[in-house]
Amino acid sequence: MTGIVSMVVFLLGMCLAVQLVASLHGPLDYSYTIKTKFPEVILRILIWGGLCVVLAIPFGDRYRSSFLWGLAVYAVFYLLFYPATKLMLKRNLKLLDRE
Amino acid sequence: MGTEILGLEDVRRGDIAIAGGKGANLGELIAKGFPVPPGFVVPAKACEEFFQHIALGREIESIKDFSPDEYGQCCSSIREIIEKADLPSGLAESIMAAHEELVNRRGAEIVCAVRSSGTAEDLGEASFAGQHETYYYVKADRLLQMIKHCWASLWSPEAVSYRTTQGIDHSTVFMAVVVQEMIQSTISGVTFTANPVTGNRDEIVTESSWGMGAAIVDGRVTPDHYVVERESLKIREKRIAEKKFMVPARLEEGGSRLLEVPHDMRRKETLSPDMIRTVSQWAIKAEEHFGSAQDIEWAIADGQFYMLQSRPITVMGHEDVTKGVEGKYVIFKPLIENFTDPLTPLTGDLMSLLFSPPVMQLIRGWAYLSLKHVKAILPFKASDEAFASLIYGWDAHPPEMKISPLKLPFTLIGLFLGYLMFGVLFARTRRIPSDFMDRFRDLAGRVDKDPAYGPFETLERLASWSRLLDPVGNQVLLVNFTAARYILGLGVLQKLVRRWAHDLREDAEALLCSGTEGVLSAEMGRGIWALAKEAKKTLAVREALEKTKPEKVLAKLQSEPEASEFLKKLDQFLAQNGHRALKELELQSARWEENPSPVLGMIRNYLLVESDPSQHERKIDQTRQDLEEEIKQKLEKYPFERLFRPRWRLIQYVASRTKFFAKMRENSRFYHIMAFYMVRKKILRVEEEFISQGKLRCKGDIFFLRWPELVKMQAGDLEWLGVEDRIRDRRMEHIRLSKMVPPKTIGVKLLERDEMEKEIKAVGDVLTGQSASPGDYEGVAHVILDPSIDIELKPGEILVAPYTDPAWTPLFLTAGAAVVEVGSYLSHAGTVAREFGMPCVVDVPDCTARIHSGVRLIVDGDRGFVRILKGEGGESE
Repeated sequence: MTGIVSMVVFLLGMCLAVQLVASLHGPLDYSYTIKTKFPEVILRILIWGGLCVVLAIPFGDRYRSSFLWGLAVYAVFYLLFYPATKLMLKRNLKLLDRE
Repeated sequence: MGTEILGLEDVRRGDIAIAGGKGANLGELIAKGFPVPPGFVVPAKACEEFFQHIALGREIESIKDFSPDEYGQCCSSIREIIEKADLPSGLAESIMAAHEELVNRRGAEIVCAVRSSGTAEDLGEASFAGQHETYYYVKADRLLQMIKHCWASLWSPEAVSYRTTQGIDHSTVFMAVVVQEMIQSTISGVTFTANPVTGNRDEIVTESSWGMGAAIVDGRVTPDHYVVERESLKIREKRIAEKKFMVPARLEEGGSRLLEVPHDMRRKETLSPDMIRTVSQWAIKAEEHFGSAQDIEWAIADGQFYMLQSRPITVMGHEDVTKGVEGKYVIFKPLIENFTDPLTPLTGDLMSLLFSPPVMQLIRGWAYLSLKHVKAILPFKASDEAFASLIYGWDAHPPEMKISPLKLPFTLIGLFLGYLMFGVLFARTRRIPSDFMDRFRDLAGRVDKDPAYGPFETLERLASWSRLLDPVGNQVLLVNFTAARYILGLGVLQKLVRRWAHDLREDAEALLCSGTEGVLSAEMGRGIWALAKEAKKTLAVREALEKTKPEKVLAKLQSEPEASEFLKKLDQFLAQNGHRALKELELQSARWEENPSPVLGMIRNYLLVESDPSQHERKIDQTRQDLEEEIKQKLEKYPFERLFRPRWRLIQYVASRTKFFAKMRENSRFYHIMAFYMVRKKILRVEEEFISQGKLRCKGDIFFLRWPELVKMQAGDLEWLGVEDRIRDRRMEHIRLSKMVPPKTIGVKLLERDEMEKEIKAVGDVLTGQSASPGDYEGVAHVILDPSIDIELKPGEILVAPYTDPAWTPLFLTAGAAVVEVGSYLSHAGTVAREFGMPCVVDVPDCTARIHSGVRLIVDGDRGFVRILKGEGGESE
């Protein structure tokens, strides 16, 4: 049972990380109109960042670490996604060369 | 017969071992009295002796020590030896003497075609075709060198690789060469004694154009097209093309191989009825002589008919298209309207970089989904046929399937992984402002000006998603991807509306989602309408647009002082929309900025029909408001609805989100096309460079190179001689494939649709397709193949088209209904037809061939059928 709960908490961490990362993109996405959009951008970061903190506190040590692992694993996964795409392009280029 | 040079008239059909397939064939034609231009054959024995003379045996022997990957290296050294060595003096003298005889016979200087004539080629399945070279416009001073080039083509990596695979001993392969006078033709063409597309043996198909035949054979012009009835030699079908280019009889040193055809000749018929009879009669004679359907190349010079070649016909059926393709595939319908013509090799290569094979693959230039991989993702238990039908027609007639409990967990894991990959983007684009993507234009401009960006780098920067911290360049593609959420929205809306409000019109959901502001392609349509309004203000401009052909009208307007305001507005329109084109995913397609004729044609169409799109929009708005009232009334019977309207609010919310995502998808496509235009510009710059260096000879040829070949040419590892034949072969294949409707599936069949379809099919002239916009309509058909040329659609006529894209939108304003050869519910034709509230049936194979302009049709947009009523004459044009 504990294992299943840990897994659910881990997945919850990943899902929250998705929203947190998206909100962290805000300053860049809205850079062209940041003068009017900055309150919304900051609010979004605070909401998702705050939610992560708020959720992490009530978990006990065991589940807190699962939750934080969820956040961290997703962050790494996300950061690797872009170089992986670049690699896919290079691989496709090599496949073309071989044809 | 040994190494002596043979006149073509001395060779017969059985002399393939001496004169090769082409030589023997031409000799046979001369012997039977066909008017073949004079020429001679350098026999295969001469090639054998030359190889012995230069002691090529050791190099040939060493080939077996190389792996196929290394053939390029060893072949290059063999070819170099052949090309640098001198021919034995006796042989060279005999060749030049035979050439001199040709000159004397003509009584003037001549240019020759020098053709490889393989002793194993043209037998059976012509397996060597395309591996051996042919050279045109060869003058006496280059004759010996070109003959050596032909022999050297035996040692291309492709030819060596093919022989190795077939177990053919390289040391036994030699080649004859045919040297033939090039007739300075005024008209030339190709005739098939059976329809090469349909296989119909009662039809003789001729394609002809001005000048030398190379323009047609190489696929560089769209020729006039004649279909003649075999028995009576009456013309069944005639399409006069706009022949913009011709290949001149003489090629100036360093000059272009293509010359512009004078304007007054472009739309002029190349063949008189008498000429068509003559050509058809010779073609039938050739077929009778050889005993099988023939494909003949011919030319007319000084009124005299010449037969240049006759060979067994290649009928391209779907089996030929799918030959050699392993696996099971289903065509990807949402993209098919952009792929009605197969992509050119270069476009295909660059596009395939963006795909993630093996789920989606380009097969012969068309996009297909791999059944095996899609099947692995979907959690259903069903036969391959059912899966293929689900993928093919998922948006209209999904076959019933059971969920597989074994596959379900894997699907859920797949969905979760998908969420991890794209979840951030889903969240980021949930509420992006409408102007989010506007910055893409600036970025595209910067990339265009930066010489550090080549075609590949431009594609990577603007059309892929390889940068983490780039909100503009990379995200357009992803926005398009995530905006597919509108399909989900449409599904939810349908469930809600049909659950709570019964007996609504068929297109209720589509109507609720119509009328979105800020859709760039709709703005484009309004822009063209605004230009038409501007044109109406000045009589001179209106007259110029109405009375001058679109391709000439710009020059006329530029010489007209009163047209300055119109031209200024046209420039503004092109600055905004100039990256768009017909068949815009194809990089070869000229953009409106480069050639605004299609835009001028559309303006002319608006002027001719005198319709007002804003009236139409108002009508749609009114219909939508009526529908909303009707739904509200129907909801009133539910609890709390009169008081708080919870159901209506939910429907409104889902409709607004669906509209938002649909707008995002459409607008992101607008910017994709801009990205492809930037790639096209980069490619055109490379092409310009290649032409100035002599690496390419004709504009447009670059699109028939493969990407690795382009890279090699840039590096100086590949020259014109190495790609000339490949380009020609690919152009021909592209033309053949373009005339076909792509097979819906490869390696798997679709399920029969249903009993209703069978029943209707049995009634007679009924074409089946897929409903894309509901409603019934009866009217006269108008087949339009190219909206830039044929633009006059009378109000109420039924538009019958091979495909549609935004350039076709103005025609929808005047059409009563639309029937389209390809597409799906989500395709452009369906979207626009629903927006305009007219019936539309898509995915009707061969409808442009089977329906003739002028016949009456009933379009059943509810069930996806088209019934052909009694004809009123007229031909498809």
